Amino acid sequence: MNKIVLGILFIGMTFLSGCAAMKSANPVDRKDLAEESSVVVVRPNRYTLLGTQSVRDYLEVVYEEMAVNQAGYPIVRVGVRNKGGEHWWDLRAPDFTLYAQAVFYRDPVAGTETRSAPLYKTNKQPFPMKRGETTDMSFTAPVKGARGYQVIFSEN
Amino acid sequence: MNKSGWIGIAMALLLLAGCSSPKVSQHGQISPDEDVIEGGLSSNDIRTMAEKMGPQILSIPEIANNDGVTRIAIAPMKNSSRFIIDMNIFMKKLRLELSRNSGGKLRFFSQNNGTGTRNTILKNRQEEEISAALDQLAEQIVNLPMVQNSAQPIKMAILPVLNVNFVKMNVDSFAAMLRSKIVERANGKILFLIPGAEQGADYYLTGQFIAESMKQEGIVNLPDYINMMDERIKKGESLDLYDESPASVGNNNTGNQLNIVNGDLRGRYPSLFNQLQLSANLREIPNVTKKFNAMLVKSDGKLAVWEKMITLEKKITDGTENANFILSGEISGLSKRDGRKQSDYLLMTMQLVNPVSNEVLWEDGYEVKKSSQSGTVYQ
Repeated sequence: MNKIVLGILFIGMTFLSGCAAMKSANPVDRKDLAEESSVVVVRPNRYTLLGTQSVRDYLEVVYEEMAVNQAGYPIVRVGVRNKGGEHWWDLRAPDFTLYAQAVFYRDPVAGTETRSAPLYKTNKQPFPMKRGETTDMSFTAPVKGARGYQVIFSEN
Repeated sequence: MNKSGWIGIAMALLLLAGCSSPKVSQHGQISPDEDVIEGGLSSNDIRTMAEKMGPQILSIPEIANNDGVTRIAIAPMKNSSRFIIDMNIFMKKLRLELSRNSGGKLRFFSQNNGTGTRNTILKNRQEEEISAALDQLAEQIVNLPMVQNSAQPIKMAILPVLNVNFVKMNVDSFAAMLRSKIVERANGKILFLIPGAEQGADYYLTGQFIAESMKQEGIVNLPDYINMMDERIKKGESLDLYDESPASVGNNNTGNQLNIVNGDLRGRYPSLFNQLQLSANLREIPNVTKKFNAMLVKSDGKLAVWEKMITLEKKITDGTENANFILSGEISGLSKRDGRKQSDYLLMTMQLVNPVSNEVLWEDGYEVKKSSQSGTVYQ
C-alpha cells in the first residue's frame, strides 16, 4: 500500500472518530486534584501573553480555619487580604468585589486525589475587598458532619 | 511539493483543527447569584441573606436543643426602603433554606396558599362529622332507659331550637335529620307528633345552638329577623329586642352591633331593612366553634331529663395558635442621589420572637451598599 492510500486512510479514520454518538467525559486529573488547596481561585476568563489576569494576583490568604458552633454546625472562616498587583506589568491595587463560595465535604479535601459529593454548598457571596484590608469571611453550613471544606474565589 | 509534503500539511491542519474552542452558549440563563444590572437589591442578596441566617436560626439553643418539632409562624416583612419589591421573596427563600436543612425539625404554617381549598375540605369533613354526631345522638336517645323500658311508644314533639341565628343553620332541616335518624333506630318505640304540634307529647326534643365565643355575634338570620321586626312594627313595639317598652326607635347601626336608639319607628324601618340587606358583617357566619346541646324535656314539669352536647363545626384557624415562634423582618434603606450617581444602603433585619412572652430570641441583620449610575426599577 503506498503512502497516498495510507494518508487517505489516516484522514478518514480521523474524521470517523468524530462520528461517535457518545463520548466519555474527561475524568479529572487526580494529581491536579490532590494539589488543590482548601482555598482556591478559579481561572480567569482569559489569559494574555503578559501573564494571567486572575484576581489571584491581588489576594493573599491571611488565615483559614474550620470549627463547629455551639449547635454543632460547621463554620469555615477565611481571612483574605487585598494586597494589589506585585508584577512589573501590573502594579495597580484596585478595590474590587470578590465572590466566595464555601463547599463543605465530609472529609478534608486538601491533598486527596478523590472527592466525594459535597454535604452543602453556599451561594457565591460578594465581599467588597478594600485595598490593604483583610476581609473576614465566615460560612456556616446548616448540615452537620462536615470535616472538610473548600472555599472558591471568583471575580463574578 | 511532493506527495509526502501534501500529506504532512494535511495532517498538520487536522491536528490544528483540534485546537478550536468549543462553541458554548448560556441561552439567556445566568446563575441566580449573578446580575447584569447594577444597583438595588439583587437575587444574590436574597440568597446570601437566607444562607447566612438559616444556619443561625437552626443554631439557636431553643431550636437546636429541642428534640421535638418547632413551629414557626411568619409575619409579613416590612419594607421601609425606597424599593417597591415583593417582600415575600425574602421569607420564602429563608423558609426554603430552613425547611430544606432542618430535617423536619422546623415546620411552617401555610398562611396564604391553598386557603380556599383547605376551607372547602374542612367544611366537607365537618358535614360528615355533623352527620356522624347526629347518628350518635339518635343512638343515645333511642337507648335511653325511659325509652327502652317504656311499655307504650313514647310521643315526642320537636320544639324550636334556640339561638339559631348564632350559627345560621337551617334548623328545620337539622331537626328533620335528627328526627329521621331517631325514627330509623327506634323500631316504633318513639313516635313524633307532626311539626308544630305539641299537645299530647310525653317529651319535647329541643336544644340550643352554642357558639364558643365571648364576643357578641353580629349575625342576623335575615328572613326571621325581618319577619320578627315586621310583627313588632305592626304591634307598635320597639325594634330593640331587649326593649319591651313601646318607645319610638331609630337606629345607630355601627360595625357589627345592631343598636336601636330613639327615632321614628316606621320611618326608620326601610333604612334598617336596607342596612341588613347591604351589610356583609351582619350576615357573615362567625368563625367560631359551634355546638348543639340536645335536650329531652318532660312535657309535664318542663324538666330536662337528658342532655347531650355535640360539636357541629370547629373554628377554622390557620394553625398559628400552635406556633412556638414568629419570624418577622424589615428592610430599611438609606438612599442618596447626585445627578445620575446614586447609592443605596440597605439593612435587612430578621427577628425570631416568642409569641407568648414577646421576647426577641434571635435577631440579625444583613447589610449591603450598592452604587449605580441609573435607577433600578423592579417589575
